[in-house]
Amino acid sequence: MEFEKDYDDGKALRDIGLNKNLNKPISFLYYNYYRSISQYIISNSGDEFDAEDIFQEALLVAIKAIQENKFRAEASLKSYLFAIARNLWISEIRKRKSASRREEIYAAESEGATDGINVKIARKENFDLIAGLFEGLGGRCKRILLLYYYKQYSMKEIMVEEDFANEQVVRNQKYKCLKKLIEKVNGNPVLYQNIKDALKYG
Amino acid sequence: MADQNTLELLEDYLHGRLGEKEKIQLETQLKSDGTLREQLETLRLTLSGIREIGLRQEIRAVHRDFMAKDASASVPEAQSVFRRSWFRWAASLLLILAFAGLGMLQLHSTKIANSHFLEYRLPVQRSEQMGDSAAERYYQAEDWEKLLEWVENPAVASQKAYFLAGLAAYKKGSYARAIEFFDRIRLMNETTDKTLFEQETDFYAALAYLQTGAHGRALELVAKMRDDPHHLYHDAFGKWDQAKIFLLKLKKSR
Repeated sequence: MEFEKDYDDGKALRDIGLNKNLNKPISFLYYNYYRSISQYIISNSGDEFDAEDIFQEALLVAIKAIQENKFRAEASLKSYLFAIARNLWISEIRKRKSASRREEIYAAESEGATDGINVKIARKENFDLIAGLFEGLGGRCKRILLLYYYKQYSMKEIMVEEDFANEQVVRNQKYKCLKKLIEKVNGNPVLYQNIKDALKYG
Repeated sequence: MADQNTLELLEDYLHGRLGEKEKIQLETQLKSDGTLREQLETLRLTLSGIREIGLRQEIRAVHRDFMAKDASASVPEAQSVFRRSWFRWAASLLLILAFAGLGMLQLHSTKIANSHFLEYRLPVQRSEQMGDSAAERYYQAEDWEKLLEWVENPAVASQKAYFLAGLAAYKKGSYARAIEFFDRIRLMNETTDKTLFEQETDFYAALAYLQTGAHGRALELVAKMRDDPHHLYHDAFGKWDQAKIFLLKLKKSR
C-alpha cells in the first residue's frame, strides 16, 4: 500500500478517531510496526501464528481505545501498541497451562514493567457468541447492519448501495435486521445471563 | 422485544442524540422500568458486537493483504549485522544453500497448490435443505458467479453453502475470498452444535493459503491433516510437500 510521504502516526491517529476508512491507518500500522512486534513475540516463546493473532488483537484494542479517547497523546503510538501487545501476550502465556518455567519467569519479570498501562483486554465470550449469531443472518441484513453501524453510512448512502426504493424502506429493513439479531441474543441463555449480570453488578 | 420507536429512542440515547428533556425523561423511566433497562443493555451489547465484527473484518482484510504481499516491502527496523552471532551466520548460510536448491527446483507455492488440487464431487444424495440444494445446482453447473451472488443474498447461512461458495471463489481465482468463506465455516463450527465440512475445509483452505503465499497458515493445516490418520485428506500431502512448504515459509520470513 502506498502512503503519502507525510502520512505519520499523527495522521493515523486522526483517521482512526474519525472512524472513516480505517483501511489506511490500519495498513500504516501494519507496515510500520508489525515486524518489530512480531519479532518480540517470537523471541519470547511465541511462534509466527501467535505473533499474527496478538498483533491483530492489539490493533483492535488500540483502535477502540483511541476512539473512546482513552489514548494519552504523550505516549507514542508505537510504544502504546507495543505495551498492549506485550500485555496480551503475557496474559496468553498465563492462560496456556503448559507454560514452561522460563515463560513463567519471563511473565513475572515483565509484570512490573507493564503496571500502570491501562490495557483493557476485551472479554471475548460475549463477542464470540454475538459473532456466531450475526453469521446466521441473511447476507443483506449483515451488509445493512455493518454499513450503518460500522461504516457509519447514512440511510441515503445505504439506499444507493443496496438499491432500495427510498430511505424509509432502508430504515424499516434496518430495524427488522437489528430486531432479528436482538431476538437471537435474547434467545441465547449465556448472553441473556451475562446481560442480567451486567445490570446487576453495573 | 422493543418496538421500532423504542429501539430507535434507545439507540439515540446511546449515541447521545437525545435532547436534554427527552434524555431526562428516558433516564427517569429507566430507573423504574427493569424491562427497559434490559432492552437498553441488550442493545448496547449487540451494537458493540456489530462494530467489533466490522473492525475485525477490516483488520483481517489488511492482514491478509499485508501477508500476501512480499513482506520485504515494509521498512524493517535498522539492525546492525554485527549483532548477529556466528550461529546466525551459519544458519543463514544453510538457508541460502536451501534456497539455492529451491531456485533450482523452481519451487512455488501456487505450483504445489495446483498439483494437489482435487475436484470436489458432491454426494449423489441431495440436501434436504432447500437453500443447500440451490447451492448444489449452481455448483454442478459450475456457475461460480451465480453461486457467489446467491450465497450473499437470502438467509442461507450453512456450512455447506459457504463451503461450495468457497470452492466457487477458489475456482475463480479469488483466493482471499475463498479463505473468507472457509473462515465462516470455522466460526459456524465453533459456535453452533453441528460441526460440518471441517476436514474438507482444512484441505481447500490449505490450498487457498498456498495460492496467497500464506505459507505458515498452509503449513499448519497440512500438519493437522498429516498428523491425524483418520483425516479425510490425511494422504493428500506427503512429507516432502510439508518440507517444501516449510522452506517456502522460511524463505518468505527472511
